[in-house]
Amino acid sequence: MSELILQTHDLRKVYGEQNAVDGIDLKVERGSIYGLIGKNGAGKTTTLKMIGGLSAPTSGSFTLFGKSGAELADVRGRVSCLIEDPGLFGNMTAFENLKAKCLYYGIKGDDYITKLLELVGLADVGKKKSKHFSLGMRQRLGIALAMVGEPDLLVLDEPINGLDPEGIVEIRDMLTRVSKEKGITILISSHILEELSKVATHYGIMSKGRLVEQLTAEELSEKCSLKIEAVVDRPELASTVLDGLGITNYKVTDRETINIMEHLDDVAHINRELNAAGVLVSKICVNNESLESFFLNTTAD
Amino acid sequence: MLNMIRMELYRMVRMKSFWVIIFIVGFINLVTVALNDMVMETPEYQQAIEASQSIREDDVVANIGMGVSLTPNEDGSYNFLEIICGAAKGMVCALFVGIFTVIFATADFNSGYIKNYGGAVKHRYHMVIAKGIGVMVYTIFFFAVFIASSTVGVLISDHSLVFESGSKIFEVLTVQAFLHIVFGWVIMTLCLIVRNNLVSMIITSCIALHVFAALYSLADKGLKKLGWKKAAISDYTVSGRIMQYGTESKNILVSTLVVAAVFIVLSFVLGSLWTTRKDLV
Repeated sequence: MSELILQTHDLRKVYGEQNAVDGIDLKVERGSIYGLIGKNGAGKTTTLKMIGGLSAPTSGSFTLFGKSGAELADVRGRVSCLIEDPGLFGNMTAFENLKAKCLYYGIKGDDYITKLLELVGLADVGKKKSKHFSLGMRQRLGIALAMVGEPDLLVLDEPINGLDPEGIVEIRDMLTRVSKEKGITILISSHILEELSKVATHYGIMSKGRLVEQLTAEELSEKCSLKIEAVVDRPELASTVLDGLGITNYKVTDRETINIMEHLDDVAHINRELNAAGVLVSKICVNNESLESFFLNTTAD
Repeated sequence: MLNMIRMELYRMVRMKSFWVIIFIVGFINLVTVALNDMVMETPEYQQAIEASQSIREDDVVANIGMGVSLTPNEDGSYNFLEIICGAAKGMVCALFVGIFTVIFATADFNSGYIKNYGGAVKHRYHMVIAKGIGVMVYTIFFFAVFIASSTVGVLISDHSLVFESGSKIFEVLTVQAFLHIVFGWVIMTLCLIVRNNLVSMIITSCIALHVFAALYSLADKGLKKLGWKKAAISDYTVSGRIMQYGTESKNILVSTLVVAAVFIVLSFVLGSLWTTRKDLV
């Protein structure tokens, strides 16, 4: 495992009597694009607010760039966020909104702002006040604001909300590019797994304030790909039979389940061979779980 | 910290309300000073003068609303300090400084811009100080415009302007400007705590339009009945000192500065504690 840039420890946030975030342990590796997914009200935004320094945890803690507690103040400047709606001064232009944040970061020179505007596709907005921007334009400007100062950790809360299909593709490509080229770690939330799956390298699935599953993109793709699922009484013997059949891409997932990721058309043949070797097969079928159904099953009550 | 101050000043001068308030105050002040002769000749003004003269000295009176009047000297000239002090003591300047402070101090919270940088702030009390410096710069600029428009107004009205001694002008203007800056800081802290434009604006207006002064008068009455014979709450408030400090107030200079210092400490300590302990969004 590569270096952890962010790690939360039993992080909680309570509003009144409601547990918005209920003891989550999140691990984000350097350079990854970590997708935080959950239904509305799952606690994603609250989690991101705490990590972004906008809200204090009720209990628990987290480590950012190896710092925690009072030392967190030293690394706060390396984190940048876009939480919920982009926060913009309506009477200012896109350039002026960016200029204000650049001043905060001590960044001089208008070229930097021009490049950022080009990066998010707002190079041609000119003197238009941001209060007259469309939702998509506001979202793009919000992302540009979050990119000011080239943070090491970019926290984005549903950044593709309101974007047109073309915009979604552009933002997605941009996030992948900055993550690879500049080594920026991105923590991004969404309630659409399908969209996240196109950029994320790691996932955390939240439901009712809890982190119900953390997995890598490979693990997710494995879970959601076509496979033969066999429930048998003797998995060790079944493994020997599968080896004998020349099947190598399989996995014993628990004490009686084997997932076979190849020879998907040979279910009957595999079943016969297992039976012939004395393995009792109580169930064998081809399974295909979509991203959507995987998400729904994982977050089901 | 310096960067944050630069950001606050940058956004301040790009606020529409910054220029609108300055322009309106400058224009209205210029016109009212220039047309003061016409106002003094109106029957309403004469009635008001007579009514004020009929009030006995021992009556407890708390006027609500702004009350500013300019009376020329016998030779028709105006005293420079009286023009400025009249408006300051009538809380006209405090009202407009307060209104701008409410808009300025809450703008980044209301727009959500605070989300763009609030999390990255190393120490949140820096935010309070940076806003405070913004309020201070605005108040100084406001006073400069007010003085300039008053002077031009007198010159337009064909009256001459009499300047008192340089040291007196410096003292009174400095103290009044300082009190107004402190008043702005108190309002700024109120805004950071309340985080509601409407409520902050109502409280500011009530202070500037002497509604609070009326409440203080009532409280004074109660305290006097309880045994504190010299009770005068407004003596311990910044707004009270703004209303009191003028050309003949050298004997209250020290106590005025002490009251201001207490409110400075209270404003920044409370503002810093509140922003540190409360979630930004």
